[in-house]
Amino acid sequence: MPLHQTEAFILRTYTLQEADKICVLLTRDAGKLRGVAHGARRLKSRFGSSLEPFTEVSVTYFQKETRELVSISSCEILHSPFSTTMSSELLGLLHYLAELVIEFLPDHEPNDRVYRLISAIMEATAGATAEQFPALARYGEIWMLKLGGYLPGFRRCAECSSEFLRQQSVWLTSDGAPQCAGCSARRGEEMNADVRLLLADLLRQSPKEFIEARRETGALAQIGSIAGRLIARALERDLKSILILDQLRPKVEAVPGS
Amino acid sequence: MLDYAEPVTRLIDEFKRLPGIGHKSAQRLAFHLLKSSQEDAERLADAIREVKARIIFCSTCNNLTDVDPCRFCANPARDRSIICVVEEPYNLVAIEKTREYHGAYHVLHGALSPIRGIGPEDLRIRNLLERLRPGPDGESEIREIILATNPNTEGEATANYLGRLLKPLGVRVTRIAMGLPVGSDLEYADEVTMHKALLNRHEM
Ligand SMILES: [Zn+2]
Ligand SMILES: [Zn+2]
Repeated sequence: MPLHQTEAFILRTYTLQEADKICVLLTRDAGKLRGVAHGARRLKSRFGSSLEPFTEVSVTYFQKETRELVSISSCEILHSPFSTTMSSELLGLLHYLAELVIEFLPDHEPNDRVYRLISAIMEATAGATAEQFPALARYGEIWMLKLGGYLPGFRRCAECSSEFLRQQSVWLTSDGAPQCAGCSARRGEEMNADVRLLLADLLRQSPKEFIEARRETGALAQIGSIAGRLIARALERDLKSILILDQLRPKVEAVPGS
Repeated sequence: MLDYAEPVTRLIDEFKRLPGIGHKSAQRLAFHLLKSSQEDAERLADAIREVKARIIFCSTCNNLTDVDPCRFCANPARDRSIICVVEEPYNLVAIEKTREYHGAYHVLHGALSPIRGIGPEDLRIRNLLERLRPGPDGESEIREIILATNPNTEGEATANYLGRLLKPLGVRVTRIAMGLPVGSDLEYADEVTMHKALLNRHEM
């Protein structure tokens, strides 16, 4: 039975029977894998806190050729998001990124670019404030769309191929494809020059650079809604976590009835 | 595939809907019941019917109970000025086992988990806030809220959310300590658990 070792991010875990956990891992060498960690639910488990979501680990596992699930024999923690404060907003960001990777990346297909993307976003998360998390969510979703081949090009008109000018608005078809004023007859969702510029920044900068520049929240929100439609189109459904993200900041209110 | 008589297939299908039960286990359970006596089968059916008919959520703390308020909320010997918040009714059993806690409880029925589609509105937080409502003297009866959600990512984020929601209301909010299990060995502690244990150290 061949033994493998690679770096990996824990994306998600499920409980399996009394004591075991099933983990979905994003590994550097073998892409997305599902594995069993035997005994991981026991209090004195050798896995300790290493299987918490988005812990970066050095994982050792066995793979039987006939089995879909690999068997995880050990996990050494490299980085853990759990060592800082786990705010509800951070949980939301981590679950959203996990869901994006789980849904867009097929199992057992190595993808170094996705691994580096998640690595860079996690690095940016470490010093970020909750106000910067939406920008990181946009960064993750646009790049997952791009790496999956679902992001249309925003430099040229999808209809006549004319190159857009810097200060020009473009109009999106229901598929999310950008058209010039002439081809679209200005029908569809308008994407102005600011939003196009922000998208270009996102695709050019590292996540850390992207969240450190001051962002107009309206433009960022429009990128989010465009991405949301492209994701729903690609997957033929909405992601569960995106529907929750806006609820995760506690709304402090008076005690009811007081 | 071999076809069973319709009632057998139906029973197998029902078992398969239970958590952790696959086709093989469902089949084994169904054939076990077929072989058992009429009384044994009736007893199981009665137990299922009765638990659904008689078990409700306590209107104060959301614990599972057959009387409302539940025996914790109704017990005058318990200190009602402290509320311990847990994720599930069975977490309460773990705290009761210590015989050291004599306050009240509040069961959330879950923890925040966006990837499973669970947000704050899916947890029983609303009636926790109602318990903090000031009495006739303008003061709330509650002095302290202990957040005893699980020491994992989701439990910690849920505690963070509740802490930020409750503290502005002027109540003392505490979190159960995270650290090393008693009877374990430092040699085998992972660095995150060790780090939390150091953070939560106390004066001797
Ligand atoms: Zn055109
Ligand atoms: Zn009660």
